[in-house]
Amino acid sequence: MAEAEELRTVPTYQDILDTVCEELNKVSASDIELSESTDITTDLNVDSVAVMDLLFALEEHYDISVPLNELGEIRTVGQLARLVQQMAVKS
Amino acid sequence: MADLFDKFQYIRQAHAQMVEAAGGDPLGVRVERILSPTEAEVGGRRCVLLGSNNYLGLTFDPDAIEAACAALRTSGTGTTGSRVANGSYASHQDLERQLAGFFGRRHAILFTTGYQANVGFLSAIAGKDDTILIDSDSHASIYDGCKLGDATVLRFKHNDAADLERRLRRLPAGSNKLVVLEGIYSMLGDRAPLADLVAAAKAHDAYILLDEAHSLGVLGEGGRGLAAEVGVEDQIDFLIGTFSKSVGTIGGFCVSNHPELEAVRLAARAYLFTASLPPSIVASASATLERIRTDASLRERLWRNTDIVYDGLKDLGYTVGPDKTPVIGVKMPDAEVGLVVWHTLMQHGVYVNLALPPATPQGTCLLRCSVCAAHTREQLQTVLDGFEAARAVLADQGAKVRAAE
Repeated sequence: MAEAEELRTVPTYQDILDTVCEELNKVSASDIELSESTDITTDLNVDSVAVMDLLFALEEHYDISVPLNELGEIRTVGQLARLVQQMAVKS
Repeated sequence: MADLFDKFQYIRQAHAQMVEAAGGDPLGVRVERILSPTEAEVGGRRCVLLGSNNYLGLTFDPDAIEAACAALRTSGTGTTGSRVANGSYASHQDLERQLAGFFGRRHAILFTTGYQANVGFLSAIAGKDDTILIDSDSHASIYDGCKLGDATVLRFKHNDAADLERRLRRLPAGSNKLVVLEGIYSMLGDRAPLADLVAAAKAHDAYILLDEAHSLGVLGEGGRGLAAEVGVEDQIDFLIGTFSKSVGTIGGFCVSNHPELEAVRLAARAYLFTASLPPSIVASASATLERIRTDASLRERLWRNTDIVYDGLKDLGYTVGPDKTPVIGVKMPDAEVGLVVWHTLMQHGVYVNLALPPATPQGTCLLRCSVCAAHTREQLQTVLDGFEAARAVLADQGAKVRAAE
């Protein structure tokens, strides 16, 4: 029962990826179709402050806190989705 | 082989475009002659300074100048080393005692700049098992201090006590948490809702660091800042400040009642490995701090002038920050329009700061104004006349942008 509860509350990677793409589309002026390997800074021209701001939406959506320390290594949409997933599992 | 400086190409391009659009470099203004706390000669023209952070106009305070000159003559132009290596001058320690007394705290540590106070303190204080929670609109020195330290760093929504509380709630009880706040935020001039933020932090046993850079000398009894005005001074564990605004010189400090504060002197690299403040700076800071403590008329004049500028800009139809403070962020529709308006103001003898992302919140372009107690009515009229003239330019630019769309 506890396991079932956990399965219901932890979102799948695909769910998170979709949400990340949805949020990125709101802040990016680029027409590029987003994929896991899209580079947030170079392909989408979204700066680091805008990434931190969009993180607020993801944090709220999944009720998590993502440390700024973890953001330094994030380059692609897929990496961001994986980071959010890690935090969602931890919480 | 690639050039080491290739990485700056996009910055250079953006800067070149900006210089072209503005007809000059807003980020590289040469002040040919500084005439007073409120006036300078720029590009052969006299300008009213409305972007100096010189809130009380104390950069030409006669007592401070005399004290600085005397210190220069007796103690020389610099200390040429850090206090741990070259020793503390008696005046450093006297100023620390004065600062502690000013804020009613037991301990004070001087830093060489306000930037170094935040970088030095934050990078030293929080270890890998600790969490620092910072406001999203925090000054670069707070971000940089966090980046240099080992703590987990969480960013909460600007001035949002409920968001801070949610983040604190997710952290394990018993772990060290430090909430970092500012009194007045430097871009939009909005105040922290300090009572609510303090209540959220203390409900989770978090330490609080408050940076009063823009509120020292501006708010509260004796000019002690926002915490004094709100009546929560006893809840603030560490108060950081700078001498480079109301105090009218350069330097930074941290005051606290924490019995172990002295340990920071042995751990903060920005304290250990920087030359200490020159004696003349220490002497002028000491003189102006005393003036701030004892002369409430400075604050009265500052707030009278703030009323004139803030209300005047609103009446002219400008969008300004939400709180009336001496820091007034005038929102521009975009950087291109902001540049033209900035240039127009310069032509009308009004100097403001052009503030662009990432220094500004939510990617906005701001014409950042800072009011001074020493501004005369005539100077403020020049300011408002300049903004009135710029309003036509703003409307014209807006129409061009709409036509282009």
